[in-house]
This record gives sequence, C-alpha cells and structure tokens, in this order.
Amino acid sequence: MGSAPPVLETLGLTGGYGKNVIVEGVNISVGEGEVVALVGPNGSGKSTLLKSIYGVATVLGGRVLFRGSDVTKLPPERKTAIGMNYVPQTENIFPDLTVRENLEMGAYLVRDESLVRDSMETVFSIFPQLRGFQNVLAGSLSGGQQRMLAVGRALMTRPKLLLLDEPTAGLAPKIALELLDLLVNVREEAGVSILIVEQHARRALELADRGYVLVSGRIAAEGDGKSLLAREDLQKLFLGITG
Amino acid sequence: MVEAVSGILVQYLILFAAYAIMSLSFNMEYGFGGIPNFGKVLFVGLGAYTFGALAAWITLGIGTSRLGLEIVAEDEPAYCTGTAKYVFSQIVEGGVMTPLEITGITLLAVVAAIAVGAVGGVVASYPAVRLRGDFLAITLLAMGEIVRLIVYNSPWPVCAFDGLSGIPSPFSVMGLEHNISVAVVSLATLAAVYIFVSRATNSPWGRALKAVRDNEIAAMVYGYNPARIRLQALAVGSGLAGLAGALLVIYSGNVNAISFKPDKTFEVIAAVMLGGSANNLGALLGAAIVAGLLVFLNVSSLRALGIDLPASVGQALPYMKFTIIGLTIILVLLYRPQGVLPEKPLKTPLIEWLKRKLGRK
Amino acid sequence: MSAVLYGVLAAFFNGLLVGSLYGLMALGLTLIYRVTKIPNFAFAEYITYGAYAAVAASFVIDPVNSAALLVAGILFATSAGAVIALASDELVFKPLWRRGSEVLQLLVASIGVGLVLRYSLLGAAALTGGKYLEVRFPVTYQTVFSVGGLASITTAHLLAITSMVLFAIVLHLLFTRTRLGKAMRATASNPTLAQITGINVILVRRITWLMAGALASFAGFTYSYYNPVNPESGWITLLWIFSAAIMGGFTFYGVLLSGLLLGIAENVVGFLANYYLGIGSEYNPVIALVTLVTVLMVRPEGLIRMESLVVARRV
Ligand SMILES: Nc1ncnc2c1ncn2[C@@H]1O[C@H](COP(=O)(O)OP(=O)(O)O)[C@@H](O)[C@H]1O
Ligand SMILES: [Mg+2]
Repeated sequence: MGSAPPVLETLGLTGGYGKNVIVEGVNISVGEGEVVALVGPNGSGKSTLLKSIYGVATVLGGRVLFRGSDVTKLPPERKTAIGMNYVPQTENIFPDLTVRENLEMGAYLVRDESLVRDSMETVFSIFPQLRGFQNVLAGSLSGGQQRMLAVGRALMTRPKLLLLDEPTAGLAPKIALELLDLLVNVREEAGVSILIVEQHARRALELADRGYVLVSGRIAAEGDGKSLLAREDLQKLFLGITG
Repeated sequence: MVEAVSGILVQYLILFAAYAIMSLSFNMEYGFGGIPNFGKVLFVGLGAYTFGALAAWITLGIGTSRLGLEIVAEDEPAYCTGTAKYVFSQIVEGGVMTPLEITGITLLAVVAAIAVGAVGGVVASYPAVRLRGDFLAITLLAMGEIVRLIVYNSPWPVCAFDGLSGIPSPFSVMGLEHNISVAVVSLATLAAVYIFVSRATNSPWGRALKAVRDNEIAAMVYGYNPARIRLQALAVGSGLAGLAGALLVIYSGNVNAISFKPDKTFEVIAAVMLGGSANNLGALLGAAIVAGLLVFLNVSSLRALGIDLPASVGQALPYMKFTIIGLTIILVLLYRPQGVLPEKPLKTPLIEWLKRKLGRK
Repeated sequence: MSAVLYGVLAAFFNGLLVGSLYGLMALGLTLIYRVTKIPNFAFAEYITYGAYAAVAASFVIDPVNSAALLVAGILFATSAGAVIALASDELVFKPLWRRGSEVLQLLVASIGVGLVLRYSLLGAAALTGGKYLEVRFPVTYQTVFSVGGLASITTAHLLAITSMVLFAIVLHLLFTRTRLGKAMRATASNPTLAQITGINVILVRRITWLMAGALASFAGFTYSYYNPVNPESGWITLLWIFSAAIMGGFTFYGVLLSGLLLGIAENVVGFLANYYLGIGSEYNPVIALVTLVTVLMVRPEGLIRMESLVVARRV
C-alpha cells in the first residue's frame, strides 16, 4: 500500500449491549486530519457505534483498526494510551473534581509534567472560558462550559483521533453552533482527526469533510458533506433534527 | 416426642404469623413504596410496649381491687412490682376476671398498639418526606435505636431492663390452651392482614405508591402527592407492625426492649428480599423461611426432633442463625436480586402512559 | 478543685481519647464512602477483627517484649483488617456495583456482610468455650500525667490522638494533592470516564479498601490497647462513627473534629447529666443518635465541612 492507512477504520463492525445487536456491519473510516460527521435519527445507534469503537459497549463482530493496527479487543484505557480519545454523550466530566483536576485526570496516562502543562495551555487557548474557572468544581459549570471541559479533557492526551458524541446536546442553539465552530478549530490547534456525532446535522455536515448517515444501526448513506446535504431523501432527517 | 414436635410446630406457626405481618408491612413500604423503613423494629416495639403496658395496667387495676390489694410502687409502674406478678398469676388461675372482660381488655390493647404504631409511622414520615435512600434508612434505624435505648433504661413503660412480664393470657383465662389459641388467632390475623395488604397494593392507591417509587416527578405531574402517599404507607405499615408487636406479647406474656434491636429489622429485610420484593406472596414465603430458621435452629427444638448437639455447638447456635440471615441477604442480592417470587409487572394503561409520556429517569 | 470541675476534667480527658478513636474510625468509613458511595455497615466489623487480630499477635509473640508486641499487634491488626475489607468488596460489593446496584442495595449488602462477620466471630468465640468472648491486648497504656489521680492523660491518648491527626492529614493531602487520591475521587465521581482516561479503577478500588480496612483495624488495635474488646465492640461504636462521619460531611478534617466533639460530648454531657440529673451513662448513645438524626434532618450535607471540595450529594 502506498498511502498511509486511515486513522480509524471499522470493518463490518457489529456492536450492542450484551447479546443485543444495535449497530451492524458498519464500515466507516476517518482519514488523517479529517473531520467526519456521523448523523442519523435518534436511537439509530450513533452513540452505540462510538462506544463499540472504543470498547465501552460490546463488540459482537467485525474489526476496529487504528492507524492500521487492530485495536478491536483493546480495553478503553489502552486505547487512550495509544492515541485515541472519546467524549461520551452524557456524564463526560468528573463533576466532583475541579476543572483543573478534570484536565489532570484527562492526562492521567501522561507522566511528563511539562507535557501536561503544555496540553493544559493548549486546552485553555482553545477554550479560553475555562481558564478562569480552574479551581471551580466542574459540576457547577454551565452546560456549555461543561462540554468544553469534556472535550478539553479528551485533548489532554494529545490524541490522534477524537470521538465526540453530541458535544452540543442540550445547549442553547447559539452556544451549540459556537462550540461546533470551536471544535473545528481543534483540528488545527491540536492536530487531531475527529469523528463527531452531531444532532445539528446540517451544520455538522457543512463543517465536516465527510459524513455518514446511520439509520437503524446501518450506514444508509455516505459522502462529502455537500452532496449528503443535497440529497432529497435525507432532507427530512436534517430538518427534523435541526428543528 | 410427638407432643414436643407439635409444640414446636405451634410455636413456628405463631412466629411465622408475626414475621409474615412484619414482612408484609415492610414490603408495602419498601417493596411497593421504595421507603427504606429500616426502623421497622421501632414500630413493632411501639406496638409491643403499648399492648403490654396497657393490658398490664388495666388488668392489674381490676385485679388488685377485686383481690382487695393495694400496690405501692415508687419510680416505676405498679405492674413492674412483684405483687403485680402475684395478681397476674391469680388472674390466670381463674375467677378474678371473666373471659369477656379479659377479651375486651386484650382487644382494646391491640387497637391501641395499632394506633400507637400508626402514629409512630406518621412521625417517621417527617424524615421520609425529606430524605432519600441510604440517609433515610440510617435515620429510621437510628430513631429505632434511640427509642429502644430509652425504653430499655427507663422503668416506663415496660420496666426497663427487667422487662414487663407475666401479662395474663386471655386464652388461659378462657380456659383454652394458650399456644394453640395464639396460633389460631395469629394465623387468622395474618389472613386478614394479607387480604388487606393485597387489596391495598392492588388498588389505585397501590399503583400510586409504585408510581411514587418509580418516578416521583412523573407521579407528581400526574397529580399524586408523594408526601401524602409516603405518610399513608408509613402509617398503615407501622400500624401493622404494631399489631405484630402486640401478637408477640400476647404469645410470650412478656415485653422487653432488649428484643427490639436492629437485628429484628434485618431478619425482616432478609425475609422480604428472599421472598421477593413487591410481591406479597413472596413476603409470606420469606417469613416462613426466616421463622423456620429462628424456631428450628434452636437447641431445644433440635433436641425435641431427636438431634442432640454438643454443648459448644449449642452455645454457638443462636449466633449462627444471624450468620445465616446475613448470608441469605448477601446471596440473594448477588444471585437472585428479585427474590424467589419476583414482582409482577403491573400493566395498567395509566402506568404505561406515564412511562411513555415522561420517559424513564 | 471542686468535685464537679474535677469530674468534668476527667470526663474531658476520657472524651479526648474516645473522641479520637471515633474520629480515627470515621476516617476509614469516610474513605470508603467517598470512593465507593457505600454507607458501609460492615465497617464496624473491620474494627473488631482488627482488635482480635492484635490480641492474636500476643499468642505468637513473646509477651515479655512489650515493644515488639505492640508492633506485632499493629501489623497483625492492619493486615487482617485490610484483607477482610478487601475480601468483602471483592466478594460482595464490587460484583453488585458492576451490576449497577443502587446505594440502598449496597447498604443492605453491607448489613449482610456485617451480620456474617460479627456473628461468625461470636459463634467462633462460643464454640471455643467462650473464653474469647472478651479479649484484651496484653500490653496496656501507662499514665503520662495526671491531675489528682483520676483525670489523666495516658499513652492511649497519645496513640489515638496522634494517629487520628496524622491519618486525617495524610488522607486530606492524598485526596487533594496526589495523583492516586485524585484518581480515587475521579473513580468515585464517574467510574466509566475514569476508566476511559486510563485510570485502573479496579486497582484504585482495591487500594481504597485495603487502606480503609487497615485504618479501621488500626483503630481496633488502639481500642484494644485501652479497653477490653468483645465481638460486638465495633458494632456498638458504629453509630458514633456514622454520626461523626455524617456530621463532618464526609470530609476528613470535618470528620476528625466531629469525632472529637462527639467523644467529648458523650463523656462531659454524660457526666453532668449523671451528676445533676442522675441520668445513667447507659443513655449516652442517645447523644450520638440524636446528633445523627438532627444533622440528617437539618443539614444532611454535614455540619462541619472542612474541605473546599464538596462531596456532591444525590438528591
Ligand atoms: N446501555 C444500554 N443498554 C441497552 N440498550 C441501550 C443502551 N444504550 C442505548 N441502548 C439502546 O440502543 C439503541 C441505540 O441507542 P443510541 O446508540 O444511544 O442511539 P443514538 O445515539 O443514535 O440516539 C436504542 O434503542 C437504545 O435504547
Ligand atoms: Mg446518542
């Protein structure tokens, strides 16, 4: 093979909870430096797909490749160690720890103090709002700040790949769109490839390089953002979700 | 031999009835209502103290006047004195009181026991409306211990650490065999309680109770008042606990606060968990097993059954019972958390609608 | 000095000792509660087993050398407590937690574990003829200084107070300054996320239980150093321990102070009530119980919270 392998590739990935299959035969990939959006109706299994990739849900079949090597069986903490990171849709911060401690815990596997300090600086430069709240308990931050912290925490290990599950869910539309724009900056500032699940489907596909549409646990469509947005049959989905 | 065995069986039936009533009451509060009333023994105790003190007081009053006696007691109730024991024995031996009188006194004291238990339940609803889960459980357990400590150390109402003893058996006064009569009455009471609790938990009120347990906010949105429903559950449950306490005193003729330690609550918890939380038949089954453990794992019971234990094992036996109770709790939680008889899913349109409307949380 | 003042002083000194023990014991309970959210009723038994293990050490070690005996007592006690605490988690609490059990179920489970441990010990003591129904560590405390002869400060005071203060400081620093302590709090706050960030949550849990068990049984050793111990000793102090922990809002310094205050209140109030009202010391536990209930009713988040970090409380 001539070109470098994609950062993330799933081959026929089937996942769920226990024996319960939720997503089936999913083939997706995220290239170096790409931002890829994953959209789909509620309950279609977007979160479950991310969890299966990360090993938080049960993988029932197929494979997950990270930079060409098979990581299907690696437990979550090992995946974090080799350069992946994941921001769950809910419960994605440590509410009883301060903002600073949340970030420190994000870098739990990084033993080099100066690296940790640098990463923290990077996070504060991406999300300047957080800087003033370093010693505040994360649980008392506003919703938007909590999401920033959640993403910031994941950046602390300087991952090559970031899985973001609806980082804007539950935020006021204006704040949500601002945060989305910030997240695209993350790619440049932190040099990371991103797979993002987003309910603001339209905006996400506009910002992303490519997108996948997940319906009932299967990939129903894929392509670059513009062409997906142009597809008649998917219009209802985008309108329905963006509201 | 046969006589001894049947004696133990009668004893078992009585204890089964008492534990079944406690279990049904705990199950209503905790299984159906989600209220961890870990102070169960407090309300059983309230019923026992009330029944014992009241029955003893009235009986003694009538007895002393008929026998032409006078009891002088300082710093303690008259029924705690040695003379009182004499009066009680005279009443049992007959003639001093008519069966009708003693029946009346007993019934009155039972009603008082239920009432005092229920009032205790209303008091307990104060924390129960404000606290949840573990903190509520600890609060109620602590309240039970406070009351027990005070009763155990104070001559009022049940003669401190000596306990109130010798309360005349109404059945003996009537010329009936005490244990068998108590067994019959206890089982009949249990039957009535079972029907009552089953009806209550299957009524709209019971569904409201479950709704409050499962989703307080949803229940509130639908118009239920969780505070009031909790109060009602605790009042009824504690009234039943008081009844169980009264039965225990009718059976033994004694009350001593020492027997109302938290361990008794733990026995009830074990019974309900083993039988199946939020299942009334399960509570009966659990009580049957726990009462069996308490009655049959006894040196005297085993001897009657022809099993002779070495003295040291005999000494360890009372403790082993609680080791087994503890193990039961652990094993049920680990391997069959729903109990032997699991909760039957309640399929009513209202609940389904509530669940759909308000989501789970 | 008047008899009252003298009595109060003696009660105060005794309260210092008892209170330090309550504080010391409550620290371990707090540690478990903070990391695993379990209100652990079995904690009392780790204390008792620790005391018994310390006494067992005296069967092994030559009792003539009292310094060696003390060291052996501490080692026996702490290792026994640590192992029993860890075992109770591995066998009971962890499997339940993995299944997503509610706090209340964990509380019930801890009651079950407590019953098994306590009554097994009682049963074993009865089986062996009852001579272990009460034990005492063979080396006892000595008076360091004394006022009059009854009110005195002893080596037991020194041991209890120093270790309580020391452990509280260590635990506080652990939680606020160290990687391990923060990992403990992170594990408590959000176990799934803790795992994603690379914290070995299972290891963190094990360390927590080992530490808490060792702390409990160290307290048990200290207890047996000044008082005879029976299989119910831990259980009887449990209400005081819970009161201290809840009053202190499950913060290490708060719990230390609360334990001290409760111990002093128990003895001084108990003495005064006896002296003036003739109320016997058997009512003393009412102080702990009333404190517990009042704090829970009025300020369930704790009365003396001594940490800028707040333990978030479920509603
Ligand atoms: N922890 C879980 N255990 C069992 N089923 C789950 C769990 N989480 C989600 N599901 C189920 O998996 C399906 C897909 O959910 P999810 O992946 O969260 O969808 P999405 O993120 O696209 O909204 C839903 O039917 C949901 O009920
Ligand atoms: Mg989702």
